[in-house]
Amino acid sequence: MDETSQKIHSIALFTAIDELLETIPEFLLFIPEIVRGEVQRNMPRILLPRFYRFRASNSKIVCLPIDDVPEELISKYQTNLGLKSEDALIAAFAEQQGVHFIVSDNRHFYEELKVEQFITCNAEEFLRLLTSGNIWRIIEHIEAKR
Amino acid sequence: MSMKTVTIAIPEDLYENLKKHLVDSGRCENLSDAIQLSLRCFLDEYFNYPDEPPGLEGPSKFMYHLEKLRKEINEMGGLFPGKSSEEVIEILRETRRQIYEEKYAAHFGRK
Repeated sequence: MDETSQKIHSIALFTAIDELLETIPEFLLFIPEIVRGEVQRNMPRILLPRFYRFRASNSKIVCLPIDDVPEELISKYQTNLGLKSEDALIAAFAEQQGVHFIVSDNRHFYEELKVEQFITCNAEEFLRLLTSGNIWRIIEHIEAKR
Repeated sequence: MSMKTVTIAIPEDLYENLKKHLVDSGRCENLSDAIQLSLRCFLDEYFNYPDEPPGLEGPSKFMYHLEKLRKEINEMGGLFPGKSSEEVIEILRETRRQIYEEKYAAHFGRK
């Protein structure tokens, strides 16, 4: 995917999140603590107030600690599925929290992590699923398997 | 000043950081004082200025702050000037690896 398409999809993703926040009462956006840390370390200090006000702009955007992720879940993603420790921690967090989707433009994640507990996709794929309505069938399918 | 007692759970690394930098160093008398100071600093620096239109609530608030954040990033020339998306992802992966090593590897017995 070229850079421009990726930017367009990222912008469209936030617009879609805005709509989901407004229209789906059960919708929650989880940010694991380690990802919040990534943003904070890579964002100039002058922009952090804006970032935190954005993050606190809706109570359904939830930043959660990851210290209590079960070790056996981390091992499952690290040892059995070959993820690096830090990525395994995020995948284990997703399973622990019962999320339906991990949306990431990091191809190491969305290309390599295929499990039944949740779907890993990039912004473009997530938007395609949302626009087509297939997202709801996928959620039903994941729920049925739990 | 009237006080309200609350029971909170905080991540272990945050507790250790607060204790080390604010209590053990003598900057604060105790953990309660350290938490109060931290919260006041955070609220003063990040939330207490009149930038948000009054009455802004719900999703419009999300888009308002997103647009503001985008505008401020654009005005700075981007977060990673001259870097491709792949390069940015690599920078973020490295940051994630560093944070994991610093905060979580020992906690999860992988160090």
